[in-house]
Amino acid sequence: MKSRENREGIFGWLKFRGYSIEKILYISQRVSGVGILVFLITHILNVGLIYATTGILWEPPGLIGKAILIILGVIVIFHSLNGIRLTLVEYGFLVGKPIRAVYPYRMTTLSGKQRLAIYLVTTVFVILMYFWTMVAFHLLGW
Amino acid sequence: MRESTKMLIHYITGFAILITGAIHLIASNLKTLEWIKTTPLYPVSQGIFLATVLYHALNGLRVILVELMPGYRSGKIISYTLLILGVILFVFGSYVLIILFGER
Amino acid sequence: MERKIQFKVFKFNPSIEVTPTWRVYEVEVDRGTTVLDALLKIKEEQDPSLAIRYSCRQAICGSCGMMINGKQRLACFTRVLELNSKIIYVEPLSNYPIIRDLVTDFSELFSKERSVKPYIIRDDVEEMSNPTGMYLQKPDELLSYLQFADCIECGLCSSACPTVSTDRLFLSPMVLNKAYRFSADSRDSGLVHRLPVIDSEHGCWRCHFAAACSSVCPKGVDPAKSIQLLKRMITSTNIFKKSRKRIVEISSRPHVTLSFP
Ligand code: SF4
Ligand code: SF4
Ligand code: FES
Repeated sequence: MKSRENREGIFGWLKFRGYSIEKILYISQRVSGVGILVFLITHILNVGLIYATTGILWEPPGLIGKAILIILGVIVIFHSLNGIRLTLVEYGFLVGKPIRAVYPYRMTTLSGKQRLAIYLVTTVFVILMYFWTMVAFHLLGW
Repeated sequence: MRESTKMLIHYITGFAILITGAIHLIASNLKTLEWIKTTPLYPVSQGIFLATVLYHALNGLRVILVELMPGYRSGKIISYTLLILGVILFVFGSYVLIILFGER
Repeated sequence: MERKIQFKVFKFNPSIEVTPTWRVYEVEVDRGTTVLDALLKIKEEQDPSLAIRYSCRQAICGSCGMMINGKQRLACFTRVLELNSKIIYVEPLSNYPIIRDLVTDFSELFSKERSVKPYIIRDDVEEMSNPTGMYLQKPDELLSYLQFADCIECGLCSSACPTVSTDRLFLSPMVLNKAYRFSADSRDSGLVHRLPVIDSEHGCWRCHFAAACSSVCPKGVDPAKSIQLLKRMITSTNIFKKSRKRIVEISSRPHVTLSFP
């Protein structure tokens, strides 16, 4: 009897229809993390090498550099806020107590405190975005 | 090291980055608060920032790669490659920090 | 109120075919028809070669999990009309090897389950082999794992988890939920024996709270919750060296009364 593998591979990460919003947040956390990692390594090497060779620590970035910094700020703010929520959740703080599973079933992970934390994270994110836009305008000199 | 220890360090470093990273950003971008750079604890906090951010980032990358390429051998290879990469970046970064702050 | 609904069913026999095909069937359904009923009707009236696995028809055996309109559901627990669509796509569960048509191979999942020792482990070996009484459990001790004991091992959660879709070694939510159900039981003291497996590189820390498992679980088990609680338990025993209170006393009442005349 032969059977055939049916693993979704990396596309399984990107299937959102029918699942909860946490899955979207999980992928966003990954993608933003990788983005920050790429910036981090180039930043260390870039600044370090320029400083070691020319003695200049920090040059004001050009337009592209500024654009990268502005996007980086958005990513970092999201990653930090969502990361705080995830840390709390993964140590069992916002998921709620075990309950009796009686029909109609209620998932305390998909409602209650955990969802509230998501709304809180979103609100704080929006507020910080407002300030970040002002910083961005300032950076671009508009 | 056990996986639970690795991940606990991951989350602790996450919070440490929030603090030290904020210091890093404020001190290098706000003209009015540049005096922070002259305090003696600033280089220390930047050293901590470098170490924690490298651990957090590279451990995060390890988690992603381990999930993409499962297996006992590949897990070892991924972990040690990233460990070496992290050590190199840390040595390089602290070298820069030392020549930056060593004069004072 | 009868309605005609189109079913697009995945047909594939890996032993003789190379590529899967989709067959279309039309079935009359009414308010109470479940997807499983409809599939059985297809099997009886239109295509006897359709392979399905099922047994209880009432969401208690956990054999009829499949992808219905792209989401993991129990066929016997999903009414056709509540899906609210004219065409219904039925596929085998993703992330398991396909044996034939809608039947998938769970053997890997079950061997992972055995690796976490899903039974009560105690230190008092003598009492375990020759019981003299019973362990009394308080209601709140019961409640701390009761929800997770409701799992019917249908494997829907393990199919939905995004980590499973790339990481074939990940223990997967169903198994981790089992591990927590036994580790949280106040009669059990076997967490240390489970740690080498659940605290490994492909153990519970590969769960990142995407909560896809909880959004498909048909029994209200909420595996995402038990996995996060498991992480907490592992951290507090491993790092903070805390151990939980365990039942040690045995109530003198015999747990079985054998009385032959
Ligand atoms: S909560 Fe964890 S185990 Fe459940 S689907 Fe998400 S990643 Fe998988
Ligand atoms: S936890 Fe829920 S979805 Fe997972 S196997 Fe058990 S009953 Fe099925
Ligand atoms: S047939 Fe038993 S769960 Fe569906």
